[in-house]
Amino acid sequence: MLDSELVSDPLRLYDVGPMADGAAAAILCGRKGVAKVLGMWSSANAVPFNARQDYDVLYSAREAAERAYRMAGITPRDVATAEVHDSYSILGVLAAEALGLAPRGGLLASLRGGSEVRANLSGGLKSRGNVMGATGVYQAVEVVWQLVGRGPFKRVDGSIGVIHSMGGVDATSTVVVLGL
Amino acid sequence: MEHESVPLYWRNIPSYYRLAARRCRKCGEVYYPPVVKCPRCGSSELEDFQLPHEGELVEFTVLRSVPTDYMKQKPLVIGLVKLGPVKVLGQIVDAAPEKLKAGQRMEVVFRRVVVDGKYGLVMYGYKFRPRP
Amino acid sequence: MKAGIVSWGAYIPKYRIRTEDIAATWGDDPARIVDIYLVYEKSVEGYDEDAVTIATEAARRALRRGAVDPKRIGAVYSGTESKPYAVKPISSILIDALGLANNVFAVDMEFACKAASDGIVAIAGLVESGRVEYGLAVGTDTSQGEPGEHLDYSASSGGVAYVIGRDGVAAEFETIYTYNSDTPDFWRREGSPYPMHGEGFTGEPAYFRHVVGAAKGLMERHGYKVSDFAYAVFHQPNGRFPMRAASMLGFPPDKVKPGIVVTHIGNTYNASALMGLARVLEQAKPGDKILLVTFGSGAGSNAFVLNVTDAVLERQKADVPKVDEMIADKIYIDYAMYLKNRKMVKLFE
Ligand SMILES: [Zn+2]
Repeated sequence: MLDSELVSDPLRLYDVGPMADGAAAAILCGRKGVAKVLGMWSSANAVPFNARQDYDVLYSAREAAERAYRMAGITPRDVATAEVHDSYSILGVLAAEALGLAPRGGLLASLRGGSEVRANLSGGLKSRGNVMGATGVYQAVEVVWQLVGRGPFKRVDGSIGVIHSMGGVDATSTVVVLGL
Repeated sequence: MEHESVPLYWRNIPSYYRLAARRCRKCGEVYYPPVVKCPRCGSSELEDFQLPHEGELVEFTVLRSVPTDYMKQKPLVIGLVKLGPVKVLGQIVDAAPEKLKAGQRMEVVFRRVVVDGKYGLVMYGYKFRPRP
Repeated sequence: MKAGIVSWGAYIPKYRIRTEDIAATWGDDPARIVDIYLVYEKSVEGYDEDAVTIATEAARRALRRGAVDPKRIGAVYSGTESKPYAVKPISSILIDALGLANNVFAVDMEFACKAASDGIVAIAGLVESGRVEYGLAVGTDTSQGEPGEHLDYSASSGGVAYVIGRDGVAAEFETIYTYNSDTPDFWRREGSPYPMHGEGFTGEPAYFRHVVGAAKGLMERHGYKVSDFAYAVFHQPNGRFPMRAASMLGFPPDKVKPGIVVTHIGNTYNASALMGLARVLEQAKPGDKILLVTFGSGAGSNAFVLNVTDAVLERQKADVPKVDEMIADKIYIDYAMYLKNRKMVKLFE
């Protein structure tokens, strides 16, 4: 990855999620299903990119996560797995921090320190591919499969998973909390 | 090539050519690109505000994979420049990227931004370069 | 009071190509080329620059130097022979790029390298008649020369702008004189990418006849002597022609050299003599008289006598780049980059 060609300094080709084709489907119903929607929220960051004070925080994701967690009555510590929006590698890092899975600016350090951060076990947009409009449902399916241990995934240690989908660079974010 | 339509370009001429911004009469916030309603206080009373043509480089990056309109201008240097009360995103020209430093003085220049093929419109606008 | 130059601004693109790099591409002896033209390097526009952008930069500087309110400009005339559009004026783009009022006379003028100075003549008339308060005369070019042909060694890019008015004049137009005729020295047909030269017409029948004719006509009609002038500035297609014109008129070299810029930036066509004038104004003293003679192929010359006033000192102090600073502020490019910047590489559009 570090040898791939530069796209936008310092991001290189393999920092960029490739466009991919894909479709996902989930059935939502009022009856007892395989997993429950415990909380969800959408937030927008109305400040245009050039007018922002910080460029290392995804405010829309942070607010959507806080509200969705409150609705679900959970804390970040309860999250067993997360699928976050990482169309570029750095966005995945910032999204995981916005979801409270690591302190601001601390994700890479905690990974280097040997901690486990269970995010994007699917590979994320970066490695599974960016399926654009299908991404959110894709993430929901993947998180449920991880919670029940189906398909390519081993069952994760816990019963709560989170998905985060984003439009633009921190323009709008949706966070959904799923639980068994 | 995909770029802005001629009517949209024409409507944006004051902001593209001269960096004409808008200032909220109620709360004083300045917006570039211009807005019709103040996102901060909700007021619709905004007035023209002329941005200065000199400022300070906040940050920049070098695009090596560029949109089709800029294919012949690789690498493209894009930066944020603080012009008075606002930061403005724009292309940086006449400079080697390895010599650029955050904090340095920049000046606004008037350049071709998009050329619509051999027969279409030449669209002009602002860019930045280091102040000599 | 007569109309005069209230303020001036110049713009030289940053890129330069050395004469030796052009000569190496086409198999010429650089020493011989430099000896013929006395041009060591020439300015080249950036890939995203053209006569419009160059005109805008020069005009912004002219307005800034004199702290002239753009809304008080009543006319903008641009002289050029490198319009980006065959039909669509540079001058109307300048109205919005500079924030001028819409009640402004605007037109592009064409007379090879002389047109910008005809803009000055026309605006001086508008000012003296009281029809406008200030006018902006612009000379801008990204002049063409066929690669490998002689013009390739001199045709360059640059622009100047002069605010003409009666209030705050830094150099008054004391006299203006003109000399024109049908001379087939140089032309470019519609649709042709490069101009052609009428063999043998360039020197005596064109440049020298008109430049010397205009200067002599002016001096004889109004009784000027060489000793009246502190400076003489001539159109400069190369480094030799203006020096020879000066000697034909009896001007010593030290009165001509301050106005010579062609040696280090090449021939900026409509900005050529007027760039030399800008350099002279940046060092002139109140009371100095300047003889300015422009030239355009086809052919004709305008001759001006300028009387420098006290206001020049204030203009010289303005925070605007000086011609000498722009000559020194440069990025060298090779011949391949030169062809790219000048859009002389054929691309799919
Ligand atoms: Zn407001």
